[in-house]
Amino acid sequence: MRNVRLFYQKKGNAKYISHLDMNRFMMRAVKRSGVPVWYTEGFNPHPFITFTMPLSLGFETNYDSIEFKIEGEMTNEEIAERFRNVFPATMPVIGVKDCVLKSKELKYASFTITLQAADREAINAYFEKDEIIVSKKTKKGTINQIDIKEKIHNLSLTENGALRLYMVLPAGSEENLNPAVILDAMKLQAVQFTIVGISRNELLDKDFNLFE
Amino acid sequence: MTDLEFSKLVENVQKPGRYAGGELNSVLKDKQQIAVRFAFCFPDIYEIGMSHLGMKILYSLLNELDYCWCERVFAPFTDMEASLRENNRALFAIESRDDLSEFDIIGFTLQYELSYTNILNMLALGNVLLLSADRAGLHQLVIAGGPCACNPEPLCDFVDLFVLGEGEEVTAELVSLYRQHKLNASTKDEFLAAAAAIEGVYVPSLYLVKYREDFSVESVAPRDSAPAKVRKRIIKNLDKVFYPDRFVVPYMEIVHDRVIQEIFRGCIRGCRFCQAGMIYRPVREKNLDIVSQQAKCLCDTTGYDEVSLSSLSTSDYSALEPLVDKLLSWSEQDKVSISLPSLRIDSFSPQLLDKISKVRKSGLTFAPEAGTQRMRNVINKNISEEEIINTCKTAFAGGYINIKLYFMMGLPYETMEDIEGIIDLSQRVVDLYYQNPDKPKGKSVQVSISVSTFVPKPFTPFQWAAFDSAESIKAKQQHLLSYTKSKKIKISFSDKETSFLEAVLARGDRRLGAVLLKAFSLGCKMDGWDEFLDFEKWMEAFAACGVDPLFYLRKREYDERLPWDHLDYYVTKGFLQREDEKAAMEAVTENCRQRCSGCGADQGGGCSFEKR
Repeated sequence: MRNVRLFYQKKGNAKYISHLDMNRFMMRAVKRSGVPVWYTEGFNPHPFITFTMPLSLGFETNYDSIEFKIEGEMTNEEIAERFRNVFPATMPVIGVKDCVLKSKELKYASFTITLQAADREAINAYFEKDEIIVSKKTKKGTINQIDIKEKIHNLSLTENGALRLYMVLPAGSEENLNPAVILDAMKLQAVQFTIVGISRNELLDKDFNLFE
Repeated sequence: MTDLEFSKLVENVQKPGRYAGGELNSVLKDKQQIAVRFAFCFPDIYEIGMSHLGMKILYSLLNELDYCWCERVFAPFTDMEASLRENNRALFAIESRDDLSEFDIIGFTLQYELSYTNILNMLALGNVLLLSADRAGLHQLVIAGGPCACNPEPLCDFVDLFVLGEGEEVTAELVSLYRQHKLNASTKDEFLAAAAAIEGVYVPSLYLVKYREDFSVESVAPRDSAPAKVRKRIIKNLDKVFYPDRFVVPYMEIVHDRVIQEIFRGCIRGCRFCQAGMIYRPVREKNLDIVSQQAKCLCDTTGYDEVSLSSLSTSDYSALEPLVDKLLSWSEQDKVSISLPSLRIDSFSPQLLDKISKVRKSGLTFAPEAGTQRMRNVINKNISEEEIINTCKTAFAGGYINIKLYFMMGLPYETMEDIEGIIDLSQRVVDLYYQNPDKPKGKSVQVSISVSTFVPKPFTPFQWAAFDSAESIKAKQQHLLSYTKSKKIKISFSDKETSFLEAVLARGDRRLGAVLLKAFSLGCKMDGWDEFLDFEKWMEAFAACGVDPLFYLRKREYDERLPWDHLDYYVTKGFLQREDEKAAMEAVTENCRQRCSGCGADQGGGCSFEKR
């Protein structure tokens, strides 16, 4: 048995599929693909699949992945092709690779947020402050006020018709920051903008290299 | 609608997946190449509508026609309705996201009386005029079918034509006729007159209903060449009828999220309260090889890992165990589980239990329907107390600890003793659990009993019966509660206002059209949802229209002309009356397999048990 990762994108309509629904979708997709994924051996056997990093409802992504074990002989090219045949057009398959890194070595994710009717000056000013305080829900459900200034990397703001906000944020099992949290905090500071879309571009390791 | 407009529309909507589309096996076509655009409308939310087998069948069937594109429309949930209004958007079809008003045929399925206001709401949200008479052209033809079409009279103001009976053949004929008439630029009247000639098509505007001073029906007169009686359609051979080779597979979880495989239509039992058992007659079975092939095919095209066998009473399939064996021959290897809903108490064998126990052990549900043998004889639910007890014994021995029992109250010829019988029976089941020497340690039994209020339905032997009064139901419910001694028995009742409205609409006439319109204009919708039903507004609507709802709840005489008497579901009025008379005498009728009771359903052909 070997561990592999299937990389795919999620575009357009597919952004309305929630994480839980993606899980059920994958179970059925595995079944239709005929790929020999290892099944759990419990009372109700099902394909054993792990999502590398759950994606929020409403987000698109250029680079998402699931991990699973393969029983028997099948090349990565063949596995990718079989998934390509059963995935919808809104979820193009990038490819399949043997797992190089462990899941816990995922450290960052990069995001592009497309905005409309946005006040560029106010957004710049917001990110130039000494501290950026946001409200973050803890696992216990309480809400903490934290400063995330140091957690935002490679921030850039470009304009080309629409305004695009690019940033790299912590992601993974240890620490996580959802850009929606930052956008909510900006709204509270009366910064004007309308969100057109949020896309998670890439998953990255500790050195900001592509997570594979 | 652009993607951006859609994303703005669902920005604050809780479950955008209800409206987003793009599901596996959903059908997209080029609308420029399409002659007939068909909107299949389900008057409830996505999760419920997508679970409905009839919709899956007709969706596939219509999309097989190259000139027709069938799309899906569901009732928007309240948050989406608010967003549609706020953004000044019309209700749209999932596939094309085109407004409902752009469709040639707008077809509703009538599964439940309390969805009627949702029909009006969906039309209004889609910018379609509500009244049939106001829609002048052939465009936006509103049609409806499904079980409630057996008495569609309350909807006659809104719906242009009803399809009675099974839809596979008649829907295809209707759409083909529509295409011709659209090509010929016919008027709506020309089309409707031609449609009325198709067996199973009821065009209400072609029938003039006269009422007496006491509001009972005096006469129903057909106009022009419309038939005096409209017969429902049946499919004679289920082995040859269209069945989809794929289902649309939703991303979000729906109520029945699995392959549904039909095994037969009709029911041999003849329970006297049961409308489905009467209007879906005669019994016609599907060959087990075909059932197995179709189920396997659907698993392959959908990726589902569960097949649920569908019928009114699964255990009455004449070859159930061979069928299950046949299914298990491929399902185990494919890691597919088989579930058998609608099992009857008397058929519940340890062998069968063993086979289905490959599925989760959660709870078991049985429907004794009544608490005493006398009452079960009245309703012709031919199971004995011993069978119920034996079944529960089997279930407890099989490791089940939750048993759910369904009962009704407010049945004709019912006494307080019958109500007490519900608890006596439930208590026996609780006691039985503690007598089981192998009962799991540290676990306690729970017997949940659900007691609904009986609603008399058209085309049943109890179609003449009174709906029990509010005071009587209240007294019975209170007595039931005070008579219960065990904490292991959990009781739930159906909502009394829901049952009341259901009873009014089920046996309603055309005078209820105005009430429906009024109730809708007062804001009534989603009436089937307890949290949305506004009974006060309904009462206001009845008062405003000068209609007394109690009129529809009364006992009717055998010689009264019933509002649905011009519709023919093969079961004869004579048979229904005989059955009601036998109910009064507490006499049972054997099931179709034992002896033909001459209900009339064999006249249409296809009956598995017709007199030979």
